[in-house]
This record gives sequence, C-alpha cells and structure tokens, in this order.
Amino acid sequence: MGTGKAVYTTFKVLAVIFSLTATASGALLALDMTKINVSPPTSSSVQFDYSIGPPAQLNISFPLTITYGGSVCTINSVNLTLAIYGDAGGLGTPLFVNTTIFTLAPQTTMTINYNFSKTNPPLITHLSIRAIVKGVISEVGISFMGFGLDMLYTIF
Amino acid sequence: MGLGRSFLLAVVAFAVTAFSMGYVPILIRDVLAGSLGGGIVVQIPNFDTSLLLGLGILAGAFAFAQKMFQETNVKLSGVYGIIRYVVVLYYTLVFLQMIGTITVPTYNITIQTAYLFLATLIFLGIALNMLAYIVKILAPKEFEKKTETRK
Repeated sequence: MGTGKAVYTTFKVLAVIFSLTATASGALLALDMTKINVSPPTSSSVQFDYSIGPPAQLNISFPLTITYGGSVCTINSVNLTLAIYGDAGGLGTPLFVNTTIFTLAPQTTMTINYNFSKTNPPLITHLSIRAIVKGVISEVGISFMGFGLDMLYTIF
Repeated sequence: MGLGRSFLLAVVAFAVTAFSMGYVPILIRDVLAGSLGGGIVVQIPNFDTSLLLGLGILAGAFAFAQKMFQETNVKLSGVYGIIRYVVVLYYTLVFLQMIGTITVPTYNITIQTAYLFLATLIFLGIALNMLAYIVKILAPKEFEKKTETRK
C-alpha cells in the first residue's frame, strides 16, 4: 500500500470513528434520556417562596448543561411564561392571576412581586421545564443519527 | 460491466445520502412532534423542510458523481468528493442553526441550545473526509491501480 493510500485510509477510518461517535451520542440522547443529567437540576434550583408578604424569589442559574457521559448540550437561555394561578378568596375556583414572560439569562435571579395565600399555593408551569427539555433533546438526538447514516457510507 | 458496478454504487450513494440528509430529519420531526405527553407540542421554528431536502439531494448528486468516477477518473472523483462535503458542511451549519432554537408554544418556552460536543465530532468527520479526497487528488495513481491491472 502506497503512502497516499495509507494516509487516505487513515483519514477515512478516523472520519468514520468520529461519525460513529456522533451517531452513538445522538442515539444515546434519544433512546436513553432517563440518564441525561440536567445541571444544575432545574427543579431543585428553583426556589419559590409563596408565603404572604415578601415577594417571591425565583433563582435559576444558566447555562444549564445537559450531559450524557461527556458534555453534550448547553441550554443558554429559556424564555418562559410563568403562569400563576390563585384561588380568589378561597372559593375553590382557580383564578387566572397573571402571566409574565421572562427571559432567563446566565446567573439570573428574579424577584416576582406576587403575594399568595398559604392555603392556595400557585401552580407554576415552569417546573415542568426539565421534562420538556429532555423530550426536546431526545428529539434532536435522533436527528443527529441522520448524519451518521451518511457518514457511515464512507466505509465503502 | 465495470461501469455497471460503479453506477450501482453511485445510485446507492445517492439514495443513502439524499435519504439520510434530506428526509430522515423531516421524518423524525414529524413523528416526534407532540410526543412529549400532555398535549405538549414541540416546534422548531427555523426548520426549513425544503432547504434540508434540497441540500440532501444536492449532496446526494455529488455523492453519485464521486462514486461514479472513483475507478475511472480518481481526480475528478476526488473533486466531487470535496464538493460533496462542502455541501455537507453547509448543511450541518444550517441544521445546527435550525435546531438551535426550539419552542414549546404551550408554555411559551423558547429553548436555545448549542450542541458543541456533537457538532465538533461532525465537523472533524467532515474535515477528515475532505482531507482524504485531497490525498486522492494529489496521488491519483495509487488509487487507479486496480483499473490498470484489469486492463
């Protein structure tokens, strides 16, 4: 085997290895997302004090890093609607209070000026972000497998 | 008959490339959209179906040409190979930009992501493939030996 052919084969083999790794990473993201770690854990990093009196505090550190083995994905910012529901006068009928759109930038600490009754804690939709993010990442992970299909053809 | 074998390989190259790049991402998006449960719909606002399909078919066409000439004209095959991966590179950049923003309308959530680890692996793969074809162009005779032996 000549030098040119040896170099060519080496490049091709390395290309296939990189492509396979990318494909496998995408597949792992897609198929085994239960083991994906969100750091910092979104739900536990959110502190929401709905007690009467002081304004509520919402603390989320960004960027969030989604990891599976190695570093895979970074979430730089999240725009979310904080839908807050209350119970007007304890009548038992959920009352839509307000919806506010926030942009969470790196190291954001937000102060939310709402007061709530202790007996009627608000429902905060952002707590489901983690599940949503995982679902989204799994979708994207499968998309990356498409790249691998093409790259694998270079074996031939 | 040699032409027949090259033609067959070229057709397979076109089919695999065009399908995997042009159709698989669209198929996956359509299958998985709204599968998060609770009626939550995921949208990729920048997703351009026709652009992905077009680039997939274009890359497939260059893959076809590359495979078609790989035994008869190695230099030309190498040039087509490089162009093919230029298209793949552009496709990758476009695709990463597309999936960088994902929205969940139900909660008015916009998620911006950067897939640095996967993107790095893909870019390295593309670069190595392009280098491999440059080697083919620089030393074509080494790759033409089989053809010469047959003759």
